[in-house]
Amino acid sequence: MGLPRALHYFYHGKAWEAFLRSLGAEVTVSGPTDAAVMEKGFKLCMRDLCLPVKAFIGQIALLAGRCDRIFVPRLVSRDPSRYYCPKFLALPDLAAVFVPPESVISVEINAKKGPGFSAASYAALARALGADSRRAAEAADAMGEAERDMAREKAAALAGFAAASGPRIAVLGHPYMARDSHLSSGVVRWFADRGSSVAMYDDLPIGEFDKVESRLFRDIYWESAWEIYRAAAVFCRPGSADGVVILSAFGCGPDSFTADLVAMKCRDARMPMVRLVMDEHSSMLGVETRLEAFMDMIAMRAGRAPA
Amino acid sequence: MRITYPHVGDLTLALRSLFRNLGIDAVPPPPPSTAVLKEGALHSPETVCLPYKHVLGELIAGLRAGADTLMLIGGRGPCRFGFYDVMQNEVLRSMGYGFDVVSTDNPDTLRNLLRELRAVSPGNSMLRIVWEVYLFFLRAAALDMVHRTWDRVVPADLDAAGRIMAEQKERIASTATLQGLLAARAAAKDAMDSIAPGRDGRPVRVGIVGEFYTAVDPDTNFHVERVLKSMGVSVERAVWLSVWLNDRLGFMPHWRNDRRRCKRIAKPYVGFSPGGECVVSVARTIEYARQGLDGVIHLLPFTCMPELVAATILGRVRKDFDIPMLELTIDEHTDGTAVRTRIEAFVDTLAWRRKRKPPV
Repeated sequence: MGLPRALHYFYHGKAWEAFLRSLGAEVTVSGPTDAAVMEKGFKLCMRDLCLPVKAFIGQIALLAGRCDRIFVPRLVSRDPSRYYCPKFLALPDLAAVFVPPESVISVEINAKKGPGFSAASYAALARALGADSRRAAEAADAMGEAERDMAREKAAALAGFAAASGPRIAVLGHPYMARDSHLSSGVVRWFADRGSSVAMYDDLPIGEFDKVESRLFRDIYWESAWEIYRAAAVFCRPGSADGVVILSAFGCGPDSFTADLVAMKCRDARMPMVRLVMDEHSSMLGVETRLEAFMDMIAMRAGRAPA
Repeated sequence: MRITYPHVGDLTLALRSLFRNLGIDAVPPPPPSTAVLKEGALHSPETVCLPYKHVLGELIAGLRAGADTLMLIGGRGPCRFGFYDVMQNEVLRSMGYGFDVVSTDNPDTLRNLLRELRAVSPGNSMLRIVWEVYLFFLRAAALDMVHRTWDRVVPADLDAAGRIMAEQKERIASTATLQGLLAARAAAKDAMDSIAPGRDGRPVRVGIVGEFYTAVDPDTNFHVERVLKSMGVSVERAVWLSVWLNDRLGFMPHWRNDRRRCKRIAKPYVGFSPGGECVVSVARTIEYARQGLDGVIHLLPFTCMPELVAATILGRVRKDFDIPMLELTIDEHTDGTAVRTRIEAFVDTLAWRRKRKPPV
């Protein structure tokens, strides 16, 4: 069973992995995105799809030679009032264009019509993979355990961020961009190498977002855009962070609105902000120049001389 | 109170009649122009889809022309269309405009639209509003009927045929009663049927699928239907205003639900609708291939999420059904001449392919 290290992997990848292993599947997680993966993705789809979807296509195409099944969940909705991005809604269908359709194994996670992220969805998947109910329950437990591990890791990262003495930079970008060092041109690493600490928006516990009030007359209905908009409010609170990086993929649909809304929010809160839009032509050199100017701005605000 | 509304193909005509018949003071959207689009794009997020930029430009023009109320369009996802009203409200207010909003934020129920109309026309009873909205739908269906007939015929004199279509549409839009509308509809049908076909034999037939706004608005898609017809091509279009309205609001209980039907046809390729017209684009392409059309043109605004999914999946459909396709991505930088050249090359390919391949 192949698990592509792209898109949904950055939300629940380790949990899916634990689940599939517990069912007795031999799981291969594809390697981190690199130039070869992207090359494969570009060759297969020469169109205006966003960078992370191209990475996903590259990943599954490379997996197809090594695995007989590829796991691509259909993430529709986590909360009944919201959707994932439309490309997630049709992800197994997109996968079926590039690998043999019968090799794509999927499960629908849809809180609008059904159980969403819950034992019932996982049990259905386990049954579809031929496991009995006892095995299914064990697998769901293993999944829960992996989820808790991930939450602990994120909480630790956030605690470290809050206590850090150097400049504290909040990165607002979809996890499949921000946590993929190739797609994000190593931005996180760049900050870490220069003594800044970095928090990802998804380090914040999900419950934190529910407490934030929206000013909009109808709320955002994309899952991660909804979270990013609220994370911006959390990090813009006095003393929460020294700067915000908005990291998007060129052509990202939800971000075309949320990045503007977040930028307005940062402006209102007088929070230093830089907006990076990545595509296949992005070079670290251009990004670096902008980040240096951004860090100088933060240093000057803190009363220090620019580096 | 003066209301303004965005321009979307023949919806503009249908809305004009609705507001006039209800006695609502309305500022019609400006005729589509590059200047209006540029103004909209200037105040839009850079990579938002093209319809947003068009609509924003028209709203700004409406506000400048003295409107104090905006009819905004929105929804609840998953495509960006549903967020237009929220974002446009934010942007226009940050530009310093003050206005009231009529927002039909749930395109799937009629109650929402009726309530909003009631609020802006206090002189009318609810019964009257329901009746006028029903007439509005019938008018939209009549306009679609005229356009569909025009699409299919390949006239000897394209300009004259275009004039007949415009006259008939204007006549339908200017009716105020059911009797008037039915008479105009019958007259329009006769007028359209009397257009003389230009040549005998089997014209090349091309289907048009794609994102709703781009497909139904000729000013946005560089009059792709007209370009095709000028080359002697008979056109089938996949999306229609009245079908869209009826699928959601059920004006005509005896009409079949086209979206549900399309979902069924597209099911082997699209397991879950990602919004917009994705399932319609896929299902209609399959149907057009089965009906023996020569080719299909897929229209989409740059970065449109549901249609990018459709475009990718259509790569598979095209192979399975052996049907030639031309994908046209449109944004505010697209040049009409380039579009025309690509369509001409596509139609040449189709004609050439026909000579090689016996008809099915």
